[in-house]
Amino acid sequence: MNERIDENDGSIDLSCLDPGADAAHFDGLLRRIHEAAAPELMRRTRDLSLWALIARWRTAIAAVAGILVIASIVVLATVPRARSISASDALTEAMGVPRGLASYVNTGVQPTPGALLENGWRN
Amino acid sequence: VLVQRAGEGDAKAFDELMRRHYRAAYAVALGVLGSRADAEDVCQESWLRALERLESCRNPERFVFWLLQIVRNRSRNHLEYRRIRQAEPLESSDASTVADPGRNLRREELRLRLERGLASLPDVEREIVLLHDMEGWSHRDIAESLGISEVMSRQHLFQARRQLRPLLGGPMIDGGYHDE
Repeated sequence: MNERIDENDGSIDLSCLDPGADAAHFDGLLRRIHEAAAPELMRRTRDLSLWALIARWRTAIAAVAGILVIASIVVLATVPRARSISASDALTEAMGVPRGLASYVNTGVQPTPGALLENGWRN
Repeated sequence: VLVQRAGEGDAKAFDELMRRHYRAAYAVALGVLGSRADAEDVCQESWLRALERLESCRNPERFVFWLLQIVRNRSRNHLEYRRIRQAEPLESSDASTVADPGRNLRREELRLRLERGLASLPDVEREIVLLHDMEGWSHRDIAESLGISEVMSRQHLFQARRQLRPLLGGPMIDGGYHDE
């Protein structure tokens, strides 16, 4: 083929075949389809499932979930942790030793007089 | 997003889809059928069919290619139906209301010559010249839509134009019409 192929030169004017050339006619064509499609569109709106609703709002749902996660992390980081009681402390306490003195019993360290007075008096 | 919204019954999204892709669908239908009235009818059927089967469009970004395949199939079915019925190719009466009747007549004559010229082309060339020169599609999109290479698309366009030009530029032999 000796001739150069250049689609930008010499394109053929097909505007008289263009359905969009006559705006009123074009709108009429689309309106006709729209009217014929109306029952199907209505059916689709009616049948919108829960999952479709979730899919539609997934961005908002993901944003809310993200905010909740961040808020939870902040709360957990700022609130002081409850002091955990070890298993041996709990056993000692069950045997009648006041809670404040249980750790002294388990570690073998002598309690201070202040600790004895305070825990012994309260319990 | 438009395809998804149309699938959920959003009329505005469906309308926007039609405004974007109607002309491409029409170009394909006209390429197969060669008749504007038939192309409009098939386009309507194809849009309705596409809406009913929207869930089978697995890649919404490629919606237009999927739609054009529906249009192509329905156009071929319609052509077959027309052959069976042995109906004459329908020519719609032009509904446009242009103030200048002379201009309108010249336009109608040009349109007839174009349709005659297009009818003389092979199917693939007809579709390519319509999508490219009427709808402004790139060779990349045409190639993807037709499942051919871009080089082939360019060659088909070149051949189609070369065949059409003499038909459009010279006098109409059988019609006795002389172009101005």
